[in-house]
Amino acid sequence: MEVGKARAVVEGLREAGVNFAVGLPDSQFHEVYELIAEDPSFKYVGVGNEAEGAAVAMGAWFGGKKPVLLIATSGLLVATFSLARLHLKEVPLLVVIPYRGDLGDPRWMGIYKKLTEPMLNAMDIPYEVVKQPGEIKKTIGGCQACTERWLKPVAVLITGEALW
Amino acid sequence: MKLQPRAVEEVLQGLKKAGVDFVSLLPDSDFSELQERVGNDLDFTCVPVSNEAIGVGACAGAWLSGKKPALLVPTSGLLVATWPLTSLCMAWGLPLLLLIPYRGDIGDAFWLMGPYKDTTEPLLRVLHIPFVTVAKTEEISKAIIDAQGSTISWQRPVAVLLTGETIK
Amino acid sequence: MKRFECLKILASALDPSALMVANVGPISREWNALRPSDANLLQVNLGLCAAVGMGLAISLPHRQVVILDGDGNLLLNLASLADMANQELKNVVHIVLDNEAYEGGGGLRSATAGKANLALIAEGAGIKNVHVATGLDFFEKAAREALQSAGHHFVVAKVEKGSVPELPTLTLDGKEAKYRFARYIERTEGKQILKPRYTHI
Repeated sequence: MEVGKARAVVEGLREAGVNFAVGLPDSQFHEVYELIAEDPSFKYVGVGNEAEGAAVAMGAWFGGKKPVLLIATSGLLVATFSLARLHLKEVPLLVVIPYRGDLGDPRWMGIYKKLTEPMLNAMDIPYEVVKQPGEIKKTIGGCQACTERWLKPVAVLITGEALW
Repeated sequence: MKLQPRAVEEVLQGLKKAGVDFVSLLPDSDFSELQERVGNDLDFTCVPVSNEAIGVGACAGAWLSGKKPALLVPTSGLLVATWPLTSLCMAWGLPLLLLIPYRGDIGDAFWLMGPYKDTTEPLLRVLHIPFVTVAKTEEISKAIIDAQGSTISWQRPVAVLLTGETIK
Repeated sequence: MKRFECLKILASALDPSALMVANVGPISREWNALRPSDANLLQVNLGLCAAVGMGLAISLPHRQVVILDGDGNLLLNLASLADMANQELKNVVHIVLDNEAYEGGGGLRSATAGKANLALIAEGAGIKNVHVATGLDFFEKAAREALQSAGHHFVVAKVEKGSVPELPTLTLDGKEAKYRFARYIERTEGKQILKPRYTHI
Protein backbone atom coordinates (compact mmCIF):
# COMPACT_ATOMS: atom_id res chain seq x y z
CA MET A 1 0.00 0.00 0.00
CA GLU A 2 1.36 3.49 -0.79
CA VAL A 3 2.66 5.19 2.30
CA GLY A 4 0.35 8.19 1.80
CA LYS A 5 -2.71 5.95 1.88
CA ALA A 6 -1.38 3.98 4.84
CA ARG A 7 -0.86 7.29 6.62
CA ALA A 8 -4.48 8.24 5.90
CA VAL A 9 -5.62 5.02 7.60
CA VAL A 10 -3.46 5.65 10.66
CA GLU A 11 -4.43 9.35 10.91
CA GLY A 12 -8.07 8.43 10.49
CA LEU A 13 -7.75 6.01 13.41
CA ARG A 14 -5.93 8.54 15.56
CA GLU A 15 -8.42 11.31 14.84
CA ALA A 16 -11.28 8.94 15.69
CA GLY A 17 -9.74 8.44 19.13
CA VAL A 18 -8.55 4.87 18.56
CA ASN A 19 -5.59 4.14 20.83
CA PHE A 20 -5.27 0.34 20.86
CA ALA A 21 -4.58 -1.70 17.73
CA VAL A 22 -4.56 -5.48 17.42
CA GLY A 23 -3.56 -7.35 14.32
CA LEU A 24 -1.99 -10.20 12.46
CA PRO A 25 0.15 -8.85 9.64
CA ASP A 26 -1.34 -8.85 6.15
CA SER A 27 0.83 -8.14 3.15
CA GLN A 28 -1.27 -5.36 1.67
CA PHE A 29 -1.44 -3.48 4.97
CA HIS A 30 2.24 -3.90 5.78
CA GLU A 31 2.86 -0.13 5.88
CA VAL A 32 -0.15 0.47 8.16
CA TYR A 33 1.17 -2.03 10.72
CA GLU A 34 4.60 -0.44 10.65
CA LEU A 35 3.28 3.11 11.07
CA ILE A 36 1.05 2.08 13.96
CA ALA A 37 3.82 0.16 15.69
CA GLU A 38 6.00 3.32 15.56
CA ASP A 39 3.26 5.71 16.67
CA PRO A 40 3.23 6.44 20.42
CA SER A 41 -0.48 7.30 20.38
CA PHE A 42 -1.27 3.59 19.81
CA LYS A 43 -0.58 0.51 21.83
CA TYR A 44 -0.06 -2.21 19.19
CA VAL A 45 -0.51 -5.88 20.03
CA GLY A 46 0.42 -8.45 17.41
CA VAL A 47 -1.36 -11.81 17.71
CA GLY A 48 -0.88 -15.23 16.16
CA ASN A 49 -4.55 -15.84 15.53
CA GLU A 50 -7.23 -13.29 14.65
CA ALA A 51 -9.81 -14.89 16.94
CA GLU A 52 -7.48 -14.14 19.84
CA GLY A 53 -7.11 -10.67 18.36
CA ALA A 54 -10.83 -9.94 18.62
CA ALA A 55 -10.80 -11.16 22.20
CA VAL A 56 -7.75 -9.04 23.06
CA ALA A 57 -9.54 -6.01 21.60
CA MET A 58 -12.59 -6.77 23.72
CA GLY A 59 -10.40 -6.94 26.81
CA ALA A 60 -8.88 -3.59 25.90
CA TRP A 61 -12.31 -2.01 25.59
CA PHE A 62 -13.26 -3.25 29.04
CA GLY A 63 -10.00 -1.67 30.15
CA GLY A 64 -11.13 1.71 28.85
CA LYS A 65 -9.27 1.70 25.53
CA LYS A 66 -10.67 2.37 22.05
CA PRO A 67 -9.57 -0.65 20.05
CA VAL A 68 -9.27 -1.41 16.34
CA LEU A 69 -8.82 -4.87 14.86
CA LEU A 70 -6.66 -4.85 11.73
CA ILE A 71 -7.13 -8.14 9.91
CA ALA A 72 -7.19 -9.60 6.43
CA THR A 73 -10.25 -11.00 4.65
CA SER A 74 -8.85 -14.43 5.50
CA GLY A 75 -8.46 -13.35 9.11
CA LEU A 76 -12.14 -12.40 9.29
CA LEU A 77 -12.89 -16.08 8.71
CA VAL A 78 -10.59 -17.14 11.54
CA ALA A 79 -12.18 -14.61 13.89
CA THR A 80 -15.84 -15.50 13.33
CA PHE A 81 -16.49 -17.20 16.65
CA SER A 82 -14.82 -14.47 18.67
CA LEU A 83 -16.68 -11.72 16.81
CA ALA A 84 -19.99 -13.52 17.39
CA ARG A 85 -19.23 -13.57 21.12
CA LEU A 86 -18.51 -9.84 21.07
CA HIS A 87 -22.09 -9.38 19.94
CA LEU A 88 -23.28 -11.19 23.02
CA LYS A 89 -21.46 -8.73 25.23
CA GLU A 90 -22.41 -5.71 23.11
CA VAL A 91 -18.83 -4.55 22.76
CA PRO A 92 -17.91 -1.90 20.22
CA LEU A 93 -15.06 -2.81 17.92
CA LEU A 94 -13.84 -1.12 14.77
CA VAL A 95 -12.55 -3.70 12.29
CA VAL A 96 -10.45 -2.41 9.39
CA ILE A 97 -9.92 -4.88 6.55
CA PRO A 98 -7.88 -4.49 3.38
CA TYR A 99 -10.35 -6.01 0.92
CA ARG A 100 -8.15 -8.64 -0.70
CA GLY A 101 -10.07 -10.73 -3.18
CA ASP A 102 -12.23 -7.83 -4.35
CA LEU A 103 -12.50 -7.28 -8.12
CA GLY A 104 -9.15 -6.01 -9.29
CA ASP A 105 -6.99 -8.05 -6.92
CA PRO A 106 -4.34 -9.68 -9.10
CA ARG A 107 -3.89 -12.78 -6.92
CA TRP A 108 -5.80 -16.06 -6.58
CA MET A 109 -8.12 -14.91 -3.82
CA GLY A 110 -11.48 -15.25 -5.47
CA ILE A 111 -13.21 -16.87 -2.54
CA TYR A 112 -13.03 -13.66 -0.53
CA LYS A 113 -15.25 -11.81 -2.98
CA LYS A 114 -17.83 -14.55 -2.51
CA LEU A 115 -17.55 -14.52 1.23
CA THR A 116 -16.51 -11.28 2.85
CA GLU A 117 -19.61 -9.12 2.55
CA PRO A 118 -22.10 -11.99 2.95
CA MET A 119 -20.12 -13.08 6.03
CA LEU A 120 -20.32 -9.62 7.58
CA ASN A 121 -24.06 -9.61 6.89
CA ALA A 122 -24.50 -13.06 8.41
CA MET A 123 -22.61 -11.84 11.49
CA ASP A 124 -24.77 -8.71 11.65
CA ILE A 125 -21.67 -6.51 11.35
CA PRO A 126 -22.48 -3.30 9.45
CA TYR A 127 -19.74 -2.18 7.13
CA GLU A 128 -18.67 0.55 4.76
CA VAL A 129 -16.60 0.02 1.60
CA VAL A 130 -14.00 2.70 0.81
CA LYS A 131 -12.74 2.96 -2.75
CA GLN A 132 -11.13 6.39 -2.87
CA PRO A 133 -8.14 7.49 -0.81
CA GLY A 134 -9.84 10.82 -0.06
CA GLU A 135 -12.60 9.01 1.83
CA ILE A 136 -10.48 6.88 4.11
CA LYS A 137 -10.30 9.19 7.11
CA LYS A 138 -13.94 10.24 7.03
CA THR A 139 -15.17 6.65 6.77
CA ILE A 140 -13.00 5.45 9.61
CA GLY A 141 -14.23 8.32 11.79
CA GLY A 142 -17.86 7.63 10.93
CA CYS A 143 -17.61 3.90 11.55
CA GLN A 144 -15.82 4.39 14.87
CA ALA A 145 -18.60 6.71 16.03
CA CYS A 146 -21.22 4.12 15.00
CA THR A 147 -19.48 1.32 16.80
CA GLU A 148 -19.57 3.36 20.01
CA ARG A 149 -23.22 4.34 19.60
CA TRP A 150 -24.45 0.91 18.56
CA LEU A 151 -22.21 -1.15 20.87
CA LYS A 152 -21.35 -3.68 18.20
CA PRO A 153 -18.53 -4.39 15.75
CA VAL A 154 -18.52 -2.23 12.60
CA ALA A 155 -16.16 -2.86 9.69
CA VAL A 156 -14.36 -0.70 7.13
CA LEU A 157 -13.41 -2.51 3.91
CA ILE A 158 -10.67 -0.73 2.00
CA THR A 159 -10.48 -1.48 -1.71
CA GLY A 160 -9.96 -0.03 -5.18
CA GLU A 161 -7.81 3.08 -5.39
CA ALA A 162 -7.83 3.45 -1.63
CA LEU A 163 -5.92 0.16 -1.33
CA TRP A 164 -3.84 -0.28 -4.51
CA MET B 1 -30.00 -29.94 26.06
CA LYS B 2 -28.57 -33.30 25.11
CA LEU B 3 -28.60 -35.49 22.06
CA GLN B 4 -31.30 -38.00 23.10
CA PRO B 5 -30.38 -41.72 23.50
CA ARG B 6 -32.52 -42.84 20.54
CA ALA B 7 -31.03 -40.07 18.45
CA VAL B 8 -27.52 -41.24 19.41
CA GLU B 9 -28.37 -44.73 18.10
CA GLU B 10 -29.78 -43.34 14.88
CA VAL B 11 -26.71 -41.16 14.31
CA LEU B 12 -24.38 -44.12 14.82
CA GLN B 13 -26.40 -46.32 12.48
CA GLY B 14 -26.59 -43.57 9.91
CA LEU B 15 -22.84 -42.98 10.01
CA LYS B 16 -22.09 -46.67 9.60
CA LYS B 17 -24.56 -47.19 6.78
CA ALA B 18 -23.14 -44.10 5.06
CA GLY B 19 -19.66 -45.61 5.30
CA VAL B 20 -18.20 -42.87 7.50
CA ASP B 21 -15.02 -44.20 9.14
CA PHE B 22 -13.24 -41.09 10.49
CA VAL B 23 -14.82 -38.73 13.01
CA SER B 24 -13.23 -35.62 14.47
CA LEU B 25 -14.75 -33.66 17.37
CA LEU B 26 -14.08 -31.31 20.24
CA PRO B 27 -15.15 -32.88 23.53
CA ASP B 28 -18.54 -31.33 24.38
CA SER B 29 -20.50 -32.35 27.46
CA ASP B 30 -23.90 -31.98 25.79
CA PHE B 31 -23.01 -34.71 23.29
CA SER B 32 -20.77 -36.82 25.44
CA GLU B 33 -22.72 -40.03 24.92
CA LEU B 34 -22.33 -39.91 21.15
CA GLN B 35 -18.67 -38.99 21.49
CA GLU B 36 -18.02 -41.89 23.84
CA ARG B 37 -19.79 -44.36 21.59
CA VAL B 38 -17.84 -43.16 18.55
CA GLY B 39 -14.61 -43.25 20.53
CA ASN B 40 -15.18 -46.83 21.65
CA ASP B 41 -16.38 -48.16 18.30
CA LEU B 42 -13.67 -49.82 16.22
CA ASP B 43 -15.50 -48.99 13.00
CA PHE B 44 -14.47 -45.37 13.49
CA THR B 45 -11.10 -43.64 13.74
CA CYS B 46 -11.99 -41.00 16.32
CA VAL B 47 -9.76 -37.92 16.52
CA PRO B 48 -10.45 -35.47 19.35
CA VAL B 49 -9.17 -31.94 18.70
CA SER B 50 -8.74 -28.78 20.74
CA ASN B 51 -10.40 -26.55 18.18
CA GLU B 52 -12.77 -27.36 15.37
CA ALA B 53 -10.56 -25.65 12.78
CA ILE B 54 -7.94 -28.32 13.52
CA GLY B 55 -10.75 -30.89 13.15
CA VAL B 56 -11.59 -29.67 9.63
CA GLY B 57 -7.90 -29.84 8.68
CA ALA B 58 -7.61 -33.38 10.05
CA CYS B 59 -10.74 -34.43 8.12
CA ALA B 60 -9.25 -32.93 4.93
CA GLY B 61 -6.11 -35.01 5.42
CA ALA B 62 -8.25 -38.05 6.12
CA TRP B 63 -10.31 -37.66 2.94
CA LEU B 64 -7.19 -37.21 0.84
CA SER B 65 -6.01 -40.50 2.34
CA GLY B 66 -9.13 -42.37 1.31
CA LYS B 67 -11.14 -42.12 4.53
CA LYS B 68 -14.73 -40.90 4.77
CA PRO B 69 -14.64 -38.17 7.41
CA ALA B 70 -17.30 -36.46 9.49
CA LEU B 71 -16.97 -33.56 11.90
CA LEU B 72 -19.21 -33.47 14.94
CA VAL B 73 -19.40 -29.73 15.58
CA PRO B 74 -21.79 -27.64 17.68
CA THR B 75 -23.17 -24.33 16.43
CA SER B 76 -20.45 -22.48 18.35
CA GLY B 77 -17.73 -24.63 16.87
CA LEU B 78 -19.03 -23.99 13.35
CA LEU B 79 -17.92 -20.39 13.80
CA VAL B 80 -14.46 -21.54 14.86
CA ALA B 81 -14.24 -23.76 11.80
CA THR B 82 -15.03 -21.12 9.18
CA TRP B 83 -11.44 -20.52 8.06
CA PRO B 84 -10.57 -24.06 6.96
CA LEU B 85 -14.13 -24.63 5.72
CA THR B 86 -13.34 -21.78 3.35
CA SER B 87 -9.65 -22.09 2.56
CA LEU B 88 -9.61 -25.87 2.27
CA CYS B 89 -13.09 -27.24 1.71
CA MET B 90 -14.51 -24.42 -0.41
CA ALA B 91 -11.32 -23.37 -2.21
CA TRP B 92 -10.24 -26.90 -3.06
CA GLY B 93 -13.61 -28.63 -3.26
CA LEU B 94 -13.37 -31.17 -0.45
CA PRO B 95 -16.18 -33.37 0.85
CA LEU B 96 -16.97 -33.23 4.57
CA LEU B 97 -20.04 -34.37 6.46
CA LEU B 98 -20.85 -31.86 9.20
CA LEU B 99 -23.04 -33.14 12.03
CA ILE B 100 -24.33 -30.13 13.91
CA PRO B 101 -26.44 -30.42 17.04
CA TYR B 102 -28.45 -27.22 16.68
CA ARG B 103 -27.87 -25.52 20.03
CA GLY B 104 -29.51 -22.13 19.90
CA ASP B 105 -32.45 -23.21 17.80
CA ILE B 106 -35.88 -22.17 19.10
CA GLY B 107 -36.56 -24.20 22.23
CA ASP B 108 -33.05 -23.83 23.63
CA ALA B 109 -33.49 -21.79 26.78
CA PHE B 110 -29.81 -21.24 27.60
CA TRP B 111 -28.98 -17.54 27.10
CA LEU B 112 -25.41 -18.26 26.03
CA MET B 113 -26.72 -19.99 22.93
CA GLY B 114 -28.66 -16.95 21.76
CA PRO B 115 -26.41 -15.83 18.90
CA TYR B 116 -26.46 -19.20 17.16
CA LYS B 117 -29.96 -18.87 15.82
CA ASP B 118 -28.75 -15.79 13.98
CA THR B 119 -25.46 -17.21 12.84
CA THR B 120 -25.90 -20.88 12.01
CA GLU B 121 -28.08 -20.97 8.92
CA PRO B 122 -26.84 -17.68 7.44
CA LEU B 123 -23.27 -18.88 7.96
CA LEU B 124 -23.92 -22.21 6.23
CA ARG B 125 -25.43 -20.30 3.31
CA VAL B 126 -22.52 -17.87 3.13
CA LEU B 127 -20.14 -20.81 3.08
CA HIS B 128 -22.21 -22.47 0.31
CA ILE B 129 -22.75 -25.50 2.53
CA PRO B 130 -26.08 -27.17 1.73
CA PHE B 131 -27.82 -28.46 4.83
CA VAL B 132 -30.77 -30.53 5.96
CA THR B 133 -32.53 -29.85 9.27
CA VAL B 134 -33.78 -32.93 11.12
CA ALA B 135 -36.28 -32.50 13.94
CA LYS B 136 -37.57 -36.10 14.16
CA THR B 137 -35.43 -38.99 15.40
CA GLU B 138 -36.62 -41.47 12.76
CA GLU B 139 -35.35 -39.16 9.99
CA ILE B 140 -31.77 -38.93 11.24
CA SER B 141 -30.26 -42.00 9.60
CA LYS B 142 -31.59 -41.27 6.12
CA ALA B 143 -30.52 -37.63 6.34
CA ILE B 144 -26.98 -38.67 7.22
CA ILE B 145 -26.82 -41.23 4.40
CA ASP B 146 -28.16 -38.69 1.89
CA ALA B 147 -25.84 -35.94 3.07
CA GLN B 148 -22.83 -38.24 2.89
CA GLY B 149 -23.69 -39.32 -0.65
CA SER B 150 -24.00 -35.72 -1.75
CA THR B 151 -20.84 -34.48 -0.09
CA ILE B 152 -18.77 -37.14 -1.87
CA SER B 153 -20.36 -36.49 -5.25
CA TRP B 154 -20.42 -32.72 -5.07
CA GLN B 155 -16.99 -32.37 -3.42
CA ARG B 156 -18.16 -29.77 -0.96
CA PRO B 157 -19.23 -29.96 2.70
CA VAL B 158 -22.84 -30.85 3.47
CA ALA B 159 -24.38 -30.41 6.92
CA VAL B 160 -27.02 -32.21 8.96
CA LEU B 161 -28.57 -29.99 11.65
CA LEU B 162 -30.07 -31.95 14.53
CA THR B 163 -32.87 -30.18 16.36
CA GLY B 164 -36.39 -30.64 17.77
CA GLU B 165 -36.97 -33.91 19.61
CA THR B 166 -33.47 -35.17 18.74
CA ILE B 167 -31.82 -32.82 21.22
CA LYS B 168 -34.53 -32.13 23.77
CA MET C 1 21.00 -20.32 7.44
CA LYS C 2 18.83 -20.11 4.39
CA ARG C 3 15.51 -21.91 4.14
CA PHE C 4 16.26 -22.98 0.55
CA GLU C 5 19.46 -24.71 1.70
CA CYS C 6 17.51 -26.60 4.37
CA LEU C 7 14.96 -27.66 1.78
CA LYS C 8 17.75 -28.85 -0.55
CA ILE C 9 19.04 -31.10 2.21
CA LEU C 10 15.55 -32.44 2.82
CA ALA C 11 14.98 -33.10 -0.87
CA SER C 12 18.16 -35.15 -1.03
CA ALA C 13 17.32 -37.15 2.09
CA LEU C 14 13.64 -37.76 1.47
CA ASP C 15 12.29 -41.09 0.34
CA PRO C 16 10.39 -40.59 -2.95
CA SER C 17 7.30 -42.17 -1.44
CA ALA C 18 7.18 -39.82 1.56
CA LEU C 19 4.12 -37.58 1.63
CA MET C 20 4.83 -33.89 2.05
CA VAL C 21 2.42 -31.21 3.24
CA ALA C 22 3.54 -27.59 2.76
CA ASN C 23 1.95 -24.20 3.34
CA VAL C 24 1.18 -21.43 0.87
CA GLY C 25 3.82 -18.89 0.10
CA PRO C 26 7.56 -19.18 -0.41
CA ILE C 27 7.76 -22.64 1.19
CA SER C 28 5.52 -24.27 -1.43
CA ARG C 29 7.28 -22.46 -4.23
CA GLU C 30 10.77 -23.40 -3.09
CA TRP C 31 9.84 -27.01 -2.34
CA ASN C 32 8.15 -27.45 -5.69
CA ALA C 33 11.32 -26.27 -7.41
CA LEU C 34 13.39 -28.84 -5.52
CA ARG C 35 11.11 -31.86 -5.49
CA PRO C 36 8.17 -31.52 -7.85
CA SER C 37 6.00 -34.55 -7.16
CA ASP C 38 2.40 -35.58 -6.84
CA ALA C 39 3.33 -36.82 -3.36
CA ASN C 40 3.45 -33.14 -2.35
CA LEU C 41 0.29 -31.51 -1.01
CA LEU C 42 1.12 -27.86 -1.59
CA GLN C 43 -0.61 -24.56 -1.00
CA VAL C 44 -2.28 -25.52 2.27
CA ASN C 45 -3.46 -22.21 3.68
CA LEU C 46 -2.40 -20.57 6.92
CA GLY C 47 -2.56 -22.56 10.12
CA LEU C 48 -3.67 -25.85 8.65
CA CYS C 49 -0.53 -27.78 7.66
CA ALA C 50 -0.16 -29.56 10.98
CA ALA C 51 -3.86 -30.49 11.13
CA VAL C 52 -3.93 -31.81 7.56
CA GLY C 53 -0.67 -33.67 8.22
CA MET C 54 -2.21 -35.23 11.31
CA GLY C 55 -5.22 -36.42 9.29
CA LEU C 56 -2.91 -38.00 6.71
CA ALA C 57 -0.65 -39.61 9.30
CA ILE C 58 -3.53 -41.18 11.23
CA SER C 59 -5.20 -42.44 8.06
CA LEU C 60 -2.03 -43.81 6.44
CA PRO C 61 0.05 -45.07 9.38
CA HIS C 62 2.39 -47.01 7.06
CA ARG C 63 3.34 -43.89 5.05
CA GLN C 64 5.84 -41.29 6.19
CA VAL C 65 4.26 -37.84 6.46
CA VAL C 66 6.56 -34.82 6.40
CA ILE C 67 5.06 -31.45 7.33
CA LEU C 68 6.80 -28.30 6.08
CA ASP C 69 5.45 -25.64 8.39
CA GLY C 70 6.15 -21.99 9.12
CA ASP C 71 6.26 -20.25 12.50
CA GLY C 72 3.28 -17.99 11.80
CA ASN C 73 1.48 -20.92 10.29
CA LEU C 74 1.88 -23.09 13.37
CA LEU C 75 1.11 -20.25 15.77
CA LEU C 76 -2.34 -19.81 14.24
CA ASN C 77 -3.44 -23.22 15.47
CA LEU C 78 -0.88 -23.96 18.14
CA ALA C 79 -3.13 -26.54 19.78
CA SER C 80 -2.42 -28.81 16.78
CA LEU C 81 0.78 -29.81 18.60
CA ALA C 82 -1.15 -31.03 21.63
CA ASP C 83 -3.65 -32.89 19.47
CA MET C 84 -0.89 -34.54 17.44
CA ALA C 85 1.11 -35.55 20.51
CA ASN C 86 -1.90 -37.30 21.98
CA GLN C 87 -2.21 -39.43 18.86
CA GLU C 88 1.23 -41.02 19.54
CA LEU C 89 2.09 -40.96 15.87
CA LYS C 90 4.98 -43.05 14.60
CA ASN C 91 5.23 -41.68 11.07
CA VAL C 92 5.56 -37.90 11.29
CA VAL C 93 8.45 -35.53 10.69
CA HIS C 94 7.26 -32.00 11.43
CA ILE C 95 9.70 -29.34 10.29
CA VAL C 96 9.12 -25.70 11.15
CA LEU C 97 11.09 -23.26 9.03
CA ASP C 98 11.14 -20.50 11.61
CA ASN C 99 12.11 -17.15 10.12
CA GLU C 100 10.39 -15.29 12.97
CA ALA C 101 8.20 -13.46 10.48
CA TYR C 102 5.06 -13.56 8.39
CA GLU C 103 7.09 -13.62 5.19
CA GLY C 104 4.17 -14.30 2.89
CA GLY C 105 2.33 -11.45 4.58
CA GLY C 106 4.93 -8.73 4.15
CA GLY C 107 7.66 -9.80 6.57
CA LEU C 108 6.52 -8.44 9.92
CA ARG C 109 7.58 -10.18 13.14
CA SER C 110 5.90 -13.26 14.52
CA ALA C 111 5.78 -14.29 18.17
CA THR C 112 8.96 -16.34 17.77
CA ALA C 113 10.88 -13.14 17.10
CA GLY C 114 9.98 -12.32 20.70
CA LYS C 115 9.66 -14.75 23.57
CA ALA C 116 7.91 -17.73 22.01
CA ASN C 117 9.98 -20.90 21.65
CA LEU C 118 8.26 -23.46 19.46
CA ALA C 119 10.60 -26.28 20.51
CA LEU C 120 9.73 -25.81 24.19
CA ILE C 121 6.05 -25.53 23.29
CA ALA C 122 6.28 -28.80 21.36
CA GLU C 123 7.94 -30.51 24.32
CA GLY C 124 5.29 -29.11 26.61
CA ALA C 125 2.64 -30.45 24.26
CA GLY C 126 4.10 -33.93 24.73
CA ILE C 127 6.31 -34.39 21.68
CA LYS C 128 9.50 -36.17 22.68
CA ASN C 129 11.88 -35.96 19.70
CA VAL C 130 12.44 -32.23 19.44
CA HIS C 131 15.44 -30.50 17.90
CA VAL C 132 16.41 -26.92 17.12
CA ALA C 133 18.83 -26.32 14.28
CA THR C 134 20.61 -23.02 13.79
CA GLY C 135 23.23 -24.34 11.37
CA LEU C 136 23.03 -26.49 8.27
CA ASP C 137 25.22 -29.31 9.57
CA PHE C 138 23.03 -29.86 12.60
CA PHE C 139 19.90 -29.50 10.49
CA GLU C 140 21.13 -32.18 8.12
CA LYS C 141 21.95 -34.53 10.99
CA ALA C 142 18.60 -33.96 12.72
CA ALA C 143 16.60 -34.21 9.49
CA ARG C 144 18.29 -37.42 8.32
CA GLU C 145 17.84 -39.05 11.71
CA ALA C 146 14.20 -38.04 11.81
CA LEU C 147 13.51 -39.27 8.30
CA GLN C 148 15.18 -42.59 8.96
CA SER C 149 13.50 -43.50 12.21
CA ALA C 150 9.94 -44.17 13.25
CA GLY C 151 8.31 -41.75 15.65
CA HIS C 152 6.99 -38.22 15.86
CA HIS C 153 9.87 -35.86 15.18
CA PHE C 154 9.76 -32.07 15.52
CA VAL C 155 12.58 -29.99 14.10
CA VAL C 156 12.71 -26.20 14.33
CA ALA C 157 15.04 -24.76 11.73
CA LYS C 158 15.94 -21.16 12.52
CA VAL C 159 16.26 -19.61 9.07
CA GLU C 160 16.74 -16.17 7.56
CA LYS C 161 13.94 -14.37 5.84
CA GLY C 162 13.98 -14.28 2.07
CA SER C 163 13.80 -16.65 -0.83
CA VAL C 164 16.05 -17.29 -3.80
CA PRO C 165 15.83 -15.42 -7.08
CA GLU C 166 14.80 -17.13 -10.32
CA LEU C 167 12.53 -19.77 -8.91
CA PRO C 168 10.05 -21.23 -11.36
CA THR C 169 6.61 -19.76 -10.74
CA LEU C 170 4.28 -22.12 -9.00
CA THR C 171 1.10 -22.19 -11.07
CA LEU C 172 -0.62 -24.89 -9.06
CA ASP C 173 -3.79 -23.77 -7.30
CA GLY C 174 -5.56 -25.56 -4.47
CA LYS C 175 -7.93 -27.48 -6.72
CA GLU C 176 -5.12 -28.93 -8.83
CA ALA C 177 -3.16 -29.68 -5.66
CA LYS C 178 -6.10 -31.72 -4.41
CA TYR C 179 -6.57 -33.73 -7.61
CA ARG C 180 -2.92 -34.53 -8.09
CA PHE C 181 -2.41 -35.63 -4.51
CA ALA C 182 -5.64 -37.64 -4.31
CA ARG C 183 -4.81 -39.44 -7.58
CA TYR C 184 -1.33 -40.17 -6.25
CA ILE C 185 -2.79 -41.78 -3.14
CA GLU C 186 -5.26 -43.72 -5.29
CA ARG C 187 -2.39 -45.08 -7.40
CA THR C 188 -0.02 -45.91 -4.61
CA GLU C 189 -2.57 -47.21 -2.11
CA GLY C 190 -4.87 -48.97 -4.55
CA LYS C 191 -7.98 -47.22 -3.30
CA GLN C 192 -10.62 -44.97 -4.79
CA ILE C 193 -10.93 -41.50 -3.31
CA LEU C 194 -12.51 -39.37 -6.02
CA LYS C 195 -15.88 -40.86 -6.83
CA PRO C 196 -18.53 -38.62 -8.23
CA ARG C 197 -21.64 -40.75 -8.32
CA TYR C 198 -23.15 -41.16 -11.76
CA THR C 199 -26.35 -43.10 -11.84
CA HIS C 200 -26.86 -43.17 -15.57
CA ILE C 201 -23.37 -43.91 -16.91
